[in-house]
Amino acid sequence: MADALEWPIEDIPDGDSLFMRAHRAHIRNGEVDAGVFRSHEGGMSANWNKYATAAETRQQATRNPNDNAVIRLSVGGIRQVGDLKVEHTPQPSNRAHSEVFGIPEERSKLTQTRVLLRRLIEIALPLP
Amino acid sequence: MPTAELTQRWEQDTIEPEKWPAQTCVSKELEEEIKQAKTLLDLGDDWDGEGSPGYTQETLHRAIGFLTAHAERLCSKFNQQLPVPRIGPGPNGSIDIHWKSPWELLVNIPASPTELASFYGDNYGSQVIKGSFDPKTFNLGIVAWLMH
Repeated sequence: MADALEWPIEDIPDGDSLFMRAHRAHIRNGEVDAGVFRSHEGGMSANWNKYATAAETRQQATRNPNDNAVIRLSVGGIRQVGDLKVEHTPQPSNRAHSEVFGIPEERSKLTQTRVLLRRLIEIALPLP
Repeated sequence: MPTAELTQRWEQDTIEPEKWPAQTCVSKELEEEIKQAKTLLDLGDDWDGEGSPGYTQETLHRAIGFLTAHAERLCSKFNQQLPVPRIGPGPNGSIDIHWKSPWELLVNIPASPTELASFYGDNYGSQVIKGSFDPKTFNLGIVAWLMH
């Protein structure tokens, strides 16, 4: 049974999108701020839109899903920012799981990256 | 895409935080934004359910000190009001100060008082400013950018 849960890793085309949650603290007057982008150990988790919807992405919040909007980022757009890479990193319980790698650790580069990523944001699901 | 390589090094002069002037040049709108920013202190550790740390009074004080000092200098030296930014939650307990107009500038005040603040701005074209600075200093480059 365990093998059935090991999803194949696929290439994500530039034309596809990633979904990410945006906590309500990052949203004012319908606009999402650059603080929404933060990395955990060099990666930023997201869902590939091939295997997850915006609504499913919201429901995966560990606490109070309704405190989150869902944003959509173009994969091709992400790949044009600095050295960012988008990779499919499926998990047994989430075939859509993907990561944006290459988020800079150096602070001024990180600030630049966040500004440029913010320009890609589209609201897929607003706050309820 | 902006040309990130086109950066400019700016002169700085330093003023001590305790000598920062009274807030006579702080506009009502900026005062409102600062008041709103104080709600960041309500966000405790793991406020987003994803492990993000909360925001401290000290970090907020440094962010407000940076803003009021630059507002005062713009007003007293150049007779201009500081454009009102949005003050918001940055990553890892840092605070973002974000201006958007015909150009964009993001200043990040770190949670650690020993780390430098960082900034990035562009005009959505080839003009770019970026770097890092001590947030307790007055930064002429940032002022020049704000006067665009």
